[in-house]
Amino acid sequence: MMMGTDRLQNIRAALAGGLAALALAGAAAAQAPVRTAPAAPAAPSVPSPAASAPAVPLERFMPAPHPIVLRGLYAEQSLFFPVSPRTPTAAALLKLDLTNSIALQGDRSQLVVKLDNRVVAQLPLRGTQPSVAAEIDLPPALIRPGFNRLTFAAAQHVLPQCEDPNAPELWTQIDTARSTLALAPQAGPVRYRLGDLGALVGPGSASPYRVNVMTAGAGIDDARLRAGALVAQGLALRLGYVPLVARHLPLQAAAAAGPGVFGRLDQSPLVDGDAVLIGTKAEIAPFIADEIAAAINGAYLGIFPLERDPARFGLIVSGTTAAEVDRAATALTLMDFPFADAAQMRVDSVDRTTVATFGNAPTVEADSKHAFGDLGYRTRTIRGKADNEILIRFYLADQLYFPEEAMIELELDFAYGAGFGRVSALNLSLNGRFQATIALNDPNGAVLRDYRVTVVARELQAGMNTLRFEPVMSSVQAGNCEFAQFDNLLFSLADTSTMKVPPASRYARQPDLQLFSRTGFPYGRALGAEAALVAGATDPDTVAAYWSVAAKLAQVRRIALLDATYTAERGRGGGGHRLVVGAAGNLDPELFNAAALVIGNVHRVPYPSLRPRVEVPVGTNPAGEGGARGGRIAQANDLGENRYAMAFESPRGSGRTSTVVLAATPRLLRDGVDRMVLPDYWDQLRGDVFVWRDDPARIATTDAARTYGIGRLDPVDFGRYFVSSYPWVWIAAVVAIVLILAWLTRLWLRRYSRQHHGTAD
Amino acid sequence: MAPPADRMVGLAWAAGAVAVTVLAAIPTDLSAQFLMAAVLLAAIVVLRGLDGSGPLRVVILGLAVFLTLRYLFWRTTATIEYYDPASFAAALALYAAELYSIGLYLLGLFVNVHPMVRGPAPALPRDRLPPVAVLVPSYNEPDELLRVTLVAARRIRYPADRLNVYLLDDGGTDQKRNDPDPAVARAARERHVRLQRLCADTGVRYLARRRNEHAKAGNLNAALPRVDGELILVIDADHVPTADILERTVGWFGADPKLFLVQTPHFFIAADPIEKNLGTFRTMPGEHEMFYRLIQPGLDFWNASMFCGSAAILRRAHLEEIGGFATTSVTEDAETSLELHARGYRSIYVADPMVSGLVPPTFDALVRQRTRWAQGMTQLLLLKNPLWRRGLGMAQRLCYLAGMTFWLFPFARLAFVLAPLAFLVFGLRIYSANLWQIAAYALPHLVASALVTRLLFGSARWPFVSWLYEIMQSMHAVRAILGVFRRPHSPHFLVTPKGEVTDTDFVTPLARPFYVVFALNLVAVPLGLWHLHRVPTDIEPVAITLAWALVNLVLLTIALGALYERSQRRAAPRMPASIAAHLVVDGTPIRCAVDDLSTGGAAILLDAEAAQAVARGSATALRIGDPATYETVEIPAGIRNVAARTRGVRIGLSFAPRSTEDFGRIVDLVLGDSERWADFVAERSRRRHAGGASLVLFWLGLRGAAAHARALWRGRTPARRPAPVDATAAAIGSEVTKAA
Repeated sequence: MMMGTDRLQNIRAALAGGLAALALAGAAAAQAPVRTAPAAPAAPSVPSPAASAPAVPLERFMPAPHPIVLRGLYAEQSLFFPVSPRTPTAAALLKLDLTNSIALQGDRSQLVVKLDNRVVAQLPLRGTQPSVAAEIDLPPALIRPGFNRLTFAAAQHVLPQCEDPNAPELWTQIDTARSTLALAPQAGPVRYRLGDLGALVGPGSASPYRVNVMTAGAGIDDARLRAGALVAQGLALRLGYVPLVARHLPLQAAAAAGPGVFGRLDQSPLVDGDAVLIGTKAEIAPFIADEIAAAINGAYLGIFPLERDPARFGLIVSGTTAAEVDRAATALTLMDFPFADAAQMRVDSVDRTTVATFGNAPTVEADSKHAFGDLGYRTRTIRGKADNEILIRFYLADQLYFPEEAMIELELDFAYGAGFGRVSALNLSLNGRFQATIALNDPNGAVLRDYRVTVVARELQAGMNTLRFEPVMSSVQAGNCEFAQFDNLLFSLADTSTMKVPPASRYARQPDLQLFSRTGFPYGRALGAEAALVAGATDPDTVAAYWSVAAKLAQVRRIALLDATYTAERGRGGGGHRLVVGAAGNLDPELFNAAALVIGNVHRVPYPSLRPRVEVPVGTNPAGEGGARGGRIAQANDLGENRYAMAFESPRGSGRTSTVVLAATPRLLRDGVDRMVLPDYWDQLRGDVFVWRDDPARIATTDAARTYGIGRLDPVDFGRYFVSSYPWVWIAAVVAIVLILAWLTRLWLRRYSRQHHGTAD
Repeated sequence: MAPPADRMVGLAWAAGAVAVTVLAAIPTDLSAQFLMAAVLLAAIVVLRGLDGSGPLRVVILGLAVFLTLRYLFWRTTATIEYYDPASFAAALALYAAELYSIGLYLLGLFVNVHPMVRGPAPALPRDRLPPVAVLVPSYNEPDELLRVTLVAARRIRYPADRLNVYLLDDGGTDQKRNDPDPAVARAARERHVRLQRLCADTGVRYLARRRNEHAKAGNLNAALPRVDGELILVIDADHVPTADILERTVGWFGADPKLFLVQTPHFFIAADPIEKNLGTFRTMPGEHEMFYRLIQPGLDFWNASMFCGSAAILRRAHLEEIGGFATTSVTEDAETSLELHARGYRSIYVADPMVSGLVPPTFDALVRQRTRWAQGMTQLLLLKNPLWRRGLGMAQRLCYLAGMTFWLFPFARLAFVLAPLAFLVFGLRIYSANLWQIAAYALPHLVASALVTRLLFGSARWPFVSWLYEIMQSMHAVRAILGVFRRPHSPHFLVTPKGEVTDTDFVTPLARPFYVVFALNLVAVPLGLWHLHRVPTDIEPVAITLAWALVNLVLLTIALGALYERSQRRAAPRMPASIAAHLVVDGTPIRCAVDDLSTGGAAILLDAEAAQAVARGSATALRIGDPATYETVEIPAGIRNVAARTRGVRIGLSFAPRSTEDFGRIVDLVLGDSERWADFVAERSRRRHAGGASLVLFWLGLRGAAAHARALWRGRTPARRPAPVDATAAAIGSEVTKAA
């Protein structure tokens, strides 16, 4: 295993013994092979069993891509990577690209890599070798299905003693874009169970998750369109944040029937991804094993490995009638399967009365009070300086209109230890924005109950919200040569703390693609009633795009749209909100009557005003709400490779939103939607016109459509909303009425004067 | 029933008012509120510059009212929160004080929306001039003061056969003359004899009743059956009428048989104690001028100008219809006009000053006078509330309501002084708002109301003067007003001392409560800073309340300056004049100009050549035009002192009347010319820049407060005030008497 190159040292587990004194080295048995080298030029590496597996940048496992920076005498950070349960991990290779301070003392400074809190590798951090590339073979035995915690802990020194623990020279940075993790799956037969579906298709799946939905025949009717959409949504809900990309394939017989459940199915088109067969028993029986077909005597779900690639499964959604197929698809969207330890099952009935959303995040509504325990949080104690934040995540189901002065009231139950330094504080953020701080400066420590903190309610956003408590704990002794005691730095936040959300009206200003991207609004409150998902055509590419969009919608809404209308007919579901997916030539021209972008022989395209480029913070609208819209230009050209998502008030109903996803051709549409559902694209949805091609950096958005509102504001909130949105109208009304009143007053005074004093003045 | 056109206007106005109220009540985001406030304030400033007194006046008031309504709605719905019982109670108290202030402000705008400007009184032919009885009620005023008033009353230009002057002596009643206390009885008998002689000398009829019942109103009522005259001119004993007072008022009665009152301003030739102690008498408009020069014309437009107890002409028949002057309250004047207005009679206000009077000479006398007014108006509010009084028009109800509720200001003013202390000293949460909200809502309201107040009253009131007077009266008036709420019939009429002089400076005995409040506000500042150090997140409430406490400290500093009583050797100062005259030197008239005048003498200006002529001879008289008779008269006078000037000399003359006629001419010259009073008021009412005026006021207050502090340092603690030097000799006519 030792390499002879002068730039590459194979230090493997040997380092572990030399540094056993480190407290972190408790799991020395798990020490892994490590190869390090200066970062440039790139060094040849020892072949690893996982070297051929796809390498995923570490930043993909982080909420937002940024380097990991470890500062101070001791610092650590963790990230979580998912592992699919369908195949055990045979090998894992972690490639690290890091840079450390040139001031670090190599004999005492080190980086420890831990996997689920077990030390798997140690790297020296030398000032003389500031750029390091390392390859670490992670022990596959420690890698379990689900999420695995990978921790980087740095002990850093620049002096032999009397160090300032916060000296600026104490730093190491891990480049998470260039650092990668590769997992090689174990080959061999896989035993699929419906009860494992949540793990097989879970947040640990590769991104994007690909699924091939197969139906009988060339075309597709509305029933199968709906069943496919429900299946895609059922899978997407299990995937969490992992996007789903669908393909639509016809069921075709294999040229030569083989053994196995799908031996008679032509599996050659299934180049990537799992397969779902949708259809009645009569439609799919020719393509599956007889004994399986015989088992279909009602709404049926079955899961079996694909013979072509046993690491992939085929899911059968069937029944003896179309209604039973629908019931099976519906069950897929609703059921949590761990109790079904079987490969196939019959769904006799579906009760939708107690439908709840998937996922762990609880839902919060206006005018409600929740204990943190109800929000899924359990009392937690934070120790020292490393593990320094508490996150409470909850979902706001509606777009709420809060008065500006409305406040969320937090009543916190917390305690902290004695001997905190004066700069200790508890910082509170909501959705990444700092809101308040509480000084933790009682030298004797404190136990506080119902400590009241208020946060501006408008900081809440539709969809997922994160309340973050970050205790900044410093020790009283912090001088260079003073013993810094950190064991006393304890902070505990109790789950009895509460959050009270003030009353608000349910109201949303439309069109708003950003709101759509966060919550799927306005499609599908109460299981999608009043919503219609319309496919522009029934060709496979359009249908695939349609299902991908439906799956994404379910993910952001956290519930399948069971009551929505799924159709490829232009006239159906016209009265409600419509989400239309199709190629430009296949769409109803009437649809564009109210659209900002009109597609026809001559397109009418809204353009923002040409102006110097201004750097705009993330999350704001460059055009500004109700701001300059620029011009609208009629032009004759084709759409090229541009894809458009645009929202506008439906020409068929006031206060109804139509959202159209379109491209020039079905294939461009499908490829475009494949990208659109990726976070890089989806998270940039905003305004009412969204244009993208193949580079997320070149996405364009604008506000061009007439705005309107959806929801119900009480009279006071309506007044507030209107006046706040159109202050000049309000001011003009005030001035006008004051002028009229002044004129009337003057008139009245003159009449009074004439009557009582005999003169007009 | 109002005419249809009026009803239409009224309905449209009501609809507009509802619309404005709705627009004001809509909650908004702060940015919209800021924008609206900025636009409206800018409009007010621009319109004030364009035409603050013309038709745009109503627009300005409307815009300001909108900003106030915005604040009111926001204050009501967003700033009152429950933290604990004490905080909540304090918050409600402050809120009530603000509600009161805003209500009074709005009433004030209504009253003053269209001040009446009247021309001269309609002329009446001589044979139609009604007989007038001039009633001079007296209780304990010195003889010399009465002599001047009675002589002036006798010299009013009016047909002699239709003018009778009566002295109504309540100091010489049967009850007083037979008082069980022999000393009191003896003094009353002596006064009775002296004043009868004085009346005989001056051609005035002396009347004294049997018993001292119902104070001044009872005195007047007792006289009514015994006097001749269709009209009654009421003159306080210390109010000297000008010669033209009837010429300029009686004509109105001929034009309107339902007219019951013509009220004229009270003009004072002496500084009130606050003016005197701060030294603002010659430069700052008097405190009373806002009422007499601006508010009364506003009331006059609504046929609600009030009887003010003196300098007023009333129709006797109307008075008798209600049984004479009202006696339920200790403010008989306002009550009488309320009764007559309720019967459908009308009043008129003539804004030209035609009496010159004295003011309470010391702070405790001022407080006593104002407390009586506050008690009387509170009595009326409780016993004869204008809102429910039948016969009054809506405008009259509002005008009287404004007049009566104004006197509840001590409660509000104390709340405002103590409010910041509630937070800074006691930690009470009284106002739930942040700095931005206050800047968006409270500040525009305050700025707009300040601009409007300046527009309406700027010529008669410097900034902060109202606050100063109110703070100074509040400390002592609160208990008295509370007593009225407990027992509305209990207050008794207390005669306000006038004409006293002192020869030493002293700290008023009423200063003690001010020390406490000042100290609390002073302590609040470091306490606030300490609180901020402990709880840095409280920066906003601390900043707001600290600023508030500092404003209070400034006002209290000025108040402390005004509480150090300065000596006053004259009851009435020399009043400025600019009259061409001749000084008679050895029988030769030498041209001169009168620079100031008092009943004791005059200052004249001569050029150098004339001065040499004077030096060579002996001056014997001042030859000058008599404003009462329009004749040139000679008043015997001697030179008291001579002072060189850049061009010529300034000579101090001492009048030496040799006869009652000479004395009458002096009174005519010094106190009988209403034009001089009008000129003086105009001169004092020149608008000054608000900032400059405020700085002057603060500087004078600071100077006074420093003197106050020095006096305390020297051990002059607040004590009973020194006795007047010589109350008799100090009165307005003393110098004349001595000279005679």
